[in-house]
Amino acid sequence: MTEPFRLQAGGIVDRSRPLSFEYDGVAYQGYAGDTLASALLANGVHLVARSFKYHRPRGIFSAGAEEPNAMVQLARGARTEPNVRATTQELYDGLIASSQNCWPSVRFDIGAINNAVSRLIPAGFYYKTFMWPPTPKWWLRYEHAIRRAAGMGRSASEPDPDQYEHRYAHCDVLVIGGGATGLASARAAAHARARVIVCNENHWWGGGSFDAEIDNRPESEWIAEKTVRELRDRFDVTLLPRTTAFGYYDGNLVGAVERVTDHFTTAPAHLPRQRVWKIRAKAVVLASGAIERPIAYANNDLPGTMLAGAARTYVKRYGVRPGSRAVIFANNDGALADALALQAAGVQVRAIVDARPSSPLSRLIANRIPVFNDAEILAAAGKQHVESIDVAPLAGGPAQTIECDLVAVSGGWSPAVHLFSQARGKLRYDDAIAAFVPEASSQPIFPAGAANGCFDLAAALIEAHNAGVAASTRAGLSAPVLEPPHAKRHARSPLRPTWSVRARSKSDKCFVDLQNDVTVNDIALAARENYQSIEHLKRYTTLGMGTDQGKTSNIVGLAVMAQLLDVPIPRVGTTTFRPPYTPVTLGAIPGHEVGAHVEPTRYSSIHDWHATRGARFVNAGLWKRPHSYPRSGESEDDAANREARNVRNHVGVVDVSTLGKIELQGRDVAELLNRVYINKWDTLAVGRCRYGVMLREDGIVMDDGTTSRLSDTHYLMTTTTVNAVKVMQQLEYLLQAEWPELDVFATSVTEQWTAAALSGPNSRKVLAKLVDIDVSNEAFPFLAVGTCNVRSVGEPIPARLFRMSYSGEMAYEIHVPADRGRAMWEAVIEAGEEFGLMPYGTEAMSTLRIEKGHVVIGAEGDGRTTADDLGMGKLVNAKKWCIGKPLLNRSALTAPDRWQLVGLTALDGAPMPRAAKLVADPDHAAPNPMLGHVTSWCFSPNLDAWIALALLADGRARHGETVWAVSPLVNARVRVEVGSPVFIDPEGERLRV
Amino acid sequence: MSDPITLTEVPIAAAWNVQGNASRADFTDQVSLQFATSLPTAPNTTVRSDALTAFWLGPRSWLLVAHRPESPLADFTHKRDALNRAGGALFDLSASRVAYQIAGEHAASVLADGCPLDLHQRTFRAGDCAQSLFGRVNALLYKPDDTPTFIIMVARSFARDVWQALRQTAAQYGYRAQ
Amino acid sequence: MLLIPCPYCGPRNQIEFTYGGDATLKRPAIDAPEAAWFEYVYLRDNPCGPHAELWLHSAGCRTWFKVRRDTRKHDILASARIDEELGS
Repeated sequence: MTEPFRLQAGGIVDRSRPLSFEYDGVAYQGYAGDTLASALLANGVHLVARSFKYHRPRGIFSAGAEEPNAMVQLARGARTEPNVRATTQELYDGLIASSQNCWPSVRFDIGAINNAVSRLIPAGFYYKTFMWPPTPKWWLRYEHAIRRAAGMGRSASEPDPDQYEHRYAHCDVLVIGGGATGLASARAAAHARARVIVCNENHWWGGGSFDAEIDNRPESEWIAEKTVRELRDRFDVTLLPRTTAFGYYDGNLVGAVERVTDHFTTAPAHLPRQRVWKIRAKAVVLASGAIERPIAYANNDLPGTMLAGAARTYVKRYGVRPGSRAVIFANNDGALADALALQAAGVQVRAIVDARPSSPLSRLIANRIPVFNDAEILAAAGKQHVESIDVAPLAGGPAQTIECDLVAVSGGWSPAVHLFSQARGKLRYDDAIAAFVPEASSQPIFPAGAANGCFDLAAALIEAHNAGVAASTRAGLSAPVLEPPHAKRHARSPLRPTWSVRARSKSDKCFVDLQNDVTVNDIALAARENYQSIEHLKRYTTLGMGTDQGKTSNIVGLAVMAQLLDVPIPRVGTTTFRPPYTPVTLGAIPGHEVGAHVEPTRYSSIHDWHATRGARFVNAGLWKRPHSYPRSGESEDDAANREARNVRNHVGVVDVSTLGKIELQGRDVAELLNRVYINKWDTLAVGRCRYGVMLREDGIVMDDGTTSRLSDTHYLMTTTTVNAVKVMQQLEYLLQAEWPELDVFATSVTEQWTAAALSGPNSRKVLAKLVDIDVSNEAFPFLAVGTCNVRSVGEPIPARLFRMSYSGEMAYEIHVPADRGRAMWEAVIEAGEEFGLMPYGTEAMSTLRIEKGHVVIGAEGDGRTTADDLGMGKLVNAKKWCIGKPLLNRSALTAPDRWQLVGLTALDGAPMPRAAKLVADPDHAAPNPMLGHVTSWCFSPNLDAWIALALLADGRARHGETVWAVSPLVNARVRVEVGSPVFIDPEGERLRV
Repeated sequence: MSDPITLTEVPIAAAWNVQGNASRADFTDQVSLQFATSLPTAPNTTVRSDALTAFWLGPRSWLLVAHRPESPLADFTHKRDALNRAGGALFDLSASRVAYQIAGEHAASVLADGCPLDLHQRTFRAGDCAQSLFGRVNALLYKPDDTPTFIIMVARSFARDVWQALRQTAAQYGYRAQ
Repeated sequence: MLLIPCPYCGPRNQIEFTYGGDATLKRPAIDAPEAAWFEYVYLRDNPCGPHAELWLHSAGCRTWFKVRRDTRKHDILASARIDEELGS
């Protein structure tokens, strides 16, 4: 395994740590510190992809996050990931990657037929062609075929086996960028005693320059041995390599994703694969550098074509020769320096094609390298790799062919202003560098260095230093006097804006957007068809809409359009930059809030007992509640029926800890209750409880529950499980904002009390064994409230006792402090054994309450029903005001055809269909007029019939009538008899015995 | 992994919620009479006495947590009535929260996985408390001293989830659970 | 994600808060005509620019307070306790 293009020395790769990897089934070797791209180039592999639309061969174009071409399918199985940029994927031992968007192979790709017929598929082709015939069904058919041919990689079909996490972080100064400028900013801020975080998207420190000296040391030494070490060891600085700041959000919140284990062969199990940082910074320094841009000439997409800075990066950073015989095509001095670096690494630089007139630097170089001034590359030629280029004078004239295997292109540099723009910063077009640069932002974001359009290292270091000082000052710190890092200044000749070359023939493809195969001709077509603003242009041609978001192409597309329209570039506009800066893995976005952890789960203190007794659980809000306790061989339905029957015949106990519980204290509690409940509360005596209904401001039922008076000034309110939070918020709002004069204090005590409801004709017998107070009907009548002690293993448990009933049977609720909840429950189970006690779940509880006609908020109280609809109109006290009352008399809420609560009994022995609607004639043609709908339904083991509660138009007047319950979705229909919603013990005698 | 995280459940002997107007002398007098403590009036601070710690929960609300089973947090009914007479309120929340202690060099990082607060020693000092979130769970955080040690109190029904999340994150640094 | 200045706890992450709507609404007198209640319950301005809002520090000190937020820029301009005047 040799690496023919690896230099003998140089770069940051660790030659003592060779790594094996596999690409398209071939084994190769690279070194620790390589990216997949640099390792492939070291092995002479350039052709790595097929383009999106035309399936043209493509190579490695850049050396960073801006890469439009070299996207690969990484790994296999559940961990496979498409569209991984080879230029940023760190090499690890055993890495497996393959090319994508090609079949059968990247060298021979059937899809390349698109290239041959490319004149038939111009920009907008799909939009125009597949609009016919104009019915949407046809588009769906086409779409299937088009999507399959279109490409990119394949996502994994198995669940993601990796963990991801989110982490909050806070700092005074966040520095985005790990190059020399970013480090200079971090250094200045650190010396001002700022808490600093530095996000660096690379696995190495340093940026786009290599050969400079800073503070009289080689640049690499100043970065690695001095500054990074000093920041890490001596200051409150968090250095985050492999971390991309991807989004800038409100309040200076920056989202960044850290690739924690993506460079490991086998990730340690205790580490997340990636970590999303949510960094709240007082000020941000943006030292994100700049992105080089291409020049559009014919076949400028052939493998072997590369940005000039990238070519130099492969040489200097990775010790890799990206070619043997190079031609440079540039419009700026920086690329001339790149040419020298290539030459020094043993690349034969055969020509520099400079779009500018002769400059001091080009004259200096001319004795070593042939320089063509005022010239351009018209076209490149080659099959699967560039083999030659044609160079010609700008003024016209015959072209000269030069053989080469590497074209290093530079159309200048665009500052990476993405995050500045996301921070609502304004951009300005700078003619001197032909790029958009940061102008002003209302957020504390300080751009510095190349990100600010400053490409000279010496000036950038000073600017970065000052930005670090300014950011620290903004964060409220005072910076000590500190010399900025020093580097040598270089005089530079100005750049000449060069975007595309003169067209040679109509069939030439001069690419602007390599990822989405957008050419100069496509932009010209858009201009002719009047899609001229940048927002129209990008949608029509898909310019900049690939996963690279047009990092190398947007400005070129803008400029080409501006040239076509003969307007200045800013007039065409600039695209809006939105997060994320680079793609973020979907798994990282929810972090660990996936699967069972999407929401937290709440457990009652009796949960483990339920579980060991074989309870099946259901979700009730965030709570897990026992649905039923099936015995062996018993279905859940049978278990629920047995449990419900047992309550009516003997006694049952159910865990009702989840009910919302709010304690209220103060002199004015009764007044508050009068205002929030429809019924009257000043008559409630100490030691008694009462049912109440709350309305929303618009008169619709919001919640129901009981409130008990525990002392003169102390009350306990219960709410439904799902509305506990809402009711508490409402009470707090009223007490703080509307009625601060009321002397009432409230606190939620839901978590303090474990509650069990003991229900059934034997409930008193069980209770008498269990508690130390007289529970006879005389001493403790219906709706009584008291305190007692529950006998249990260990100390007696202090409890609150309530005589209230949801099931319609004689019933009690026992509340004990939650840390004794399980002991209380077990004491109840033991005491009840001789009386036939069984635990019951929510299903039996629901059956019992349907039999009794008790409404549930969320079923009968569906956000549209009034108290009167639910048969509780009489509860609304006429003599007092309450929330919701002023709007209760609106005509729509009192109309005669209101849907009202009724009970339904299924006739003909048929089961009640789920969620049925009520109609007069089941055979009526659709739409069948709806008379109402079923809200709750069950098989009643006590009535031996299918019953339901329902809302039915004018229902109270229709008792005794027959209607149809139909469920067209499951093709079910059943005749039902309308009656009272109270099926059992309508007089309530069982409650009071 | 030199400095592992230690996760410990801290038993709460008793915890009562006092509410009232701290600018009214009859209320504060009654509080100091019943509990021999003053109440912290600066937001998100605590007052620690020999028997209990008083946490600021809100402008009219405090949590008294007893340091041991024998404490002034006894005879609830009597003290509630006394506070009600003084224009305040008293609620027994002894069983409603579960407390975990997270100690070790990376304790703040473990909490930062779910808590949006800035727990850096410069901003969250010994004796500070704050209510916030851990994941989606409301949490009361407390820094008892100058060591990298935090106490997080969450509602009992959420405690199982929170404990699991703490252990999962702490595993990155190595941890002992007690 | 907004950084919302709670008048008691200082700036905190938006996820600790619950939105409570327009802070300028005035609850009508309990004997006010139905039309006044209708307006109070249903009719809302939708200003482009500064907007006075109620927020509850639901995961924090559980106080309701006022915030002036620019609905165009999402900037928080001022906050105040519930019984204080809200600055501009």
